[in-house]
Formats: sequence, C-alpha cells, structure tokens
Amino acid sequence: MEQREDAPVELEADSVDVDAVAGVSVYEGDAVLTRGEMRITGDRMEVYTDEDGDLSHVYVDGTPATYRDHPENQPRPVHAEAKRMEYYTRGPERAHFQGDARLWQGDDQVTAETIDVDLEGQIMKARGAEGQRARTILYPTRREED
Amino acid sequence: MRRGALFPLATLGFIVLLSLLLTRDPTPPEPDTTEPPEERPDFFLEGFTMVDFDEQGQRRAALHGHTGEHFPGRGELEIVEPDLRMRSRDGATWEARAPFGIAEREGAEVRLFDEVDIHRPAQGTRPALDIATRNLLVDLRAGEARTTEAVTAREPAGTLRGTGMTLDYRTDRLRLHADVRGEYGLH
Repeated sequence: MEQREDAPVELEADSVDVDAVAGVSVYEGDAVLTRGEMRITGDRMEVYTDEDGDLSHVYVDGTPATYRDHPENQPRPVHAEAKRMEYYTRGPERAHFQGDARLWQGDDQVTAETIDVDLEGQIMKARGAEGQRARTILYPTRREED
Repeated sequence: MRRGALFPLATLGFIVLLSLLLTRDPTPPEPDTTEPPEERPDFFLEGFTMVDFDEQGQRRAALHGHTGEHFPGRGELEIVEPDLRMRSRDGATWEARAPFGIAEREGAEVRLFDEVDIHRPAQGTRPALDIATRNLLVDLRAGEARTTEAVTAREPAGTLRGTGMTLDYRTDRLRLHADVRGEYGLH
C-alpha cells in the first residue's frame, strides 16, 4: 500500500472556483477529499496551496463535516465529525475539529467543542467550550482482544 | 330539401371535380437547383495581428493569426491558427490557441474551435497554469472565456478536471461547473 506521505490528495465536488492569484480553490457541493485510507466529506472545501505549489491545508464546512481514517497500527478505523474541520498535510499532518466535535473509535468516544489530532504522532487533545467540559468515554479492552 | 333538388347539385359538383383533374399538370415541379450565391471574402490577411483597446485606450487583447478571411455577409473573420493574448487586471497575460477560430462583432467576440490550449505563465509567486478544452467563446468586453465542454487545468499543485468552465481572465478566477475532480501530489 502506498505510503501516506506519498499518497496524492484527491477531491471531488459539484463545482470549483479557483482564484489563481491567491492560490485558493473552493470546492462546493458534496465535496469529498481522499488520501490513502483517509476520507473527509463536507458541503464546502477551501483548498490552499503554498509557494511551492503544494497543497498545504484544507478548510471544510459541513452539516457536519466528517472524517474517517484507518491508521496503520490500529485495529479499528477512527471517525470524527464537527461543524468545521481543518486538515493540514504536513508540519505535522494534523486535523482540527471545531463545533460539536465528536471523535470515536469502536465504542470509545470523545465529545468536545474542539478536538485536535496529530495524525503522525497519534496524539489527541480535546477542549470544552466556555463553561463546558470535554467528555471522554473509554471502554476497557475486552478479554479476547488482549 | 327534397331528394329531386339534390341531383342537379351533385351532377354539377362532379363535373367541376372532373375538369379540375383533367386540367391539372401531373409532372412534379422541378427542384430549385440554383445554388445560393457562394459567399466570397472581401479581404484576406496573412501573418496578422489585431489589437483590441478598452474605452480608456488600454490594450485589452491581441489576436494573431496565420491567415484570415473576412466575410462581409456574416461580419466574421475566419482565422487559421488564431493565437489570442488577453491581459488580466494586474498585468498577467493569458494566451489561448486553437487550430481555427472566428472573430465577430468587430472582434469583441472570438470563438476558438476544436482543441483549445490556454496558458498563463508563472508570475511572481503565482505558478503557471495550463488549461486544455474545446470550443471556447472569448468575450473581450466581459473579460470572460466560456465553454460547455470537458476541461483539464494543470498547475504545479495539481490537476483539475470538470465539465463546463467560466474563466474570468481579468481577475484570474476560474470556475468549473460540474463533475469536478481534483488531484494534488505532495512533493
């Protein structure tokens, strides 16, 4: 299977507006982004390229924006959803979920105002909104899975 | 009306019908074979350039052609190998080429036929952009190029494909209208 960092980013949508000066492309209408096993969906995606002409980051708005990935060293896929999402291709590769964010893997689940995931280091940080706390539910691993 | 009175009327009608049939010419009319007058160009150009200026006298576009024939009846200039250069607001040049084209409405509209290649060179931090499509209509007054055909746009960041395009070359904005696919390689 193609290494993650070598995998191209592919997008599909109903239409796209390209601002060739600003280096921004706005995909609209059932937008889908895929990269290897990762799949992100939303109503609208803003794709930014850097001075080298590489895709640097994507802002996703959706009802909700959804995320799915299956990290190589993990038994189950990871899912997430939020009103808005940001995906960064490097520096490190990471995702930021904002607004009714929810992330789950099997039965384990985190809900918060924002969730940040370092996709390379597999590190996650959840932050509640003002006056609210992030909630995490972790189920002890079942006996047959040890 | 009694039956007796109908008989003369019917006889008269029969006689009229019979005379019509006898006097009718059976041979079908000859098809009109006269050719419409062949339209002839009133002038011919070779290795030419036409420059279009806006209301402020600013150079808006330049149309080069290998050869051109002007047809007064249609008010069109038929061009072989048209090469149209269009200027964006901040000075970038978009260049569109095709094997054949037609300039009309005193050059305000240029139609490029068959394979059309559009190129915008790199400028400053902005990378080069190449677009391949077919049958493009360029409206020099509106500063737009439009097609309903398949489009492929390539720049260093990636490749965009779709169906139908509106290119606002004055503001360097491009819109693909349907079936959009984008692929970005990460170097």
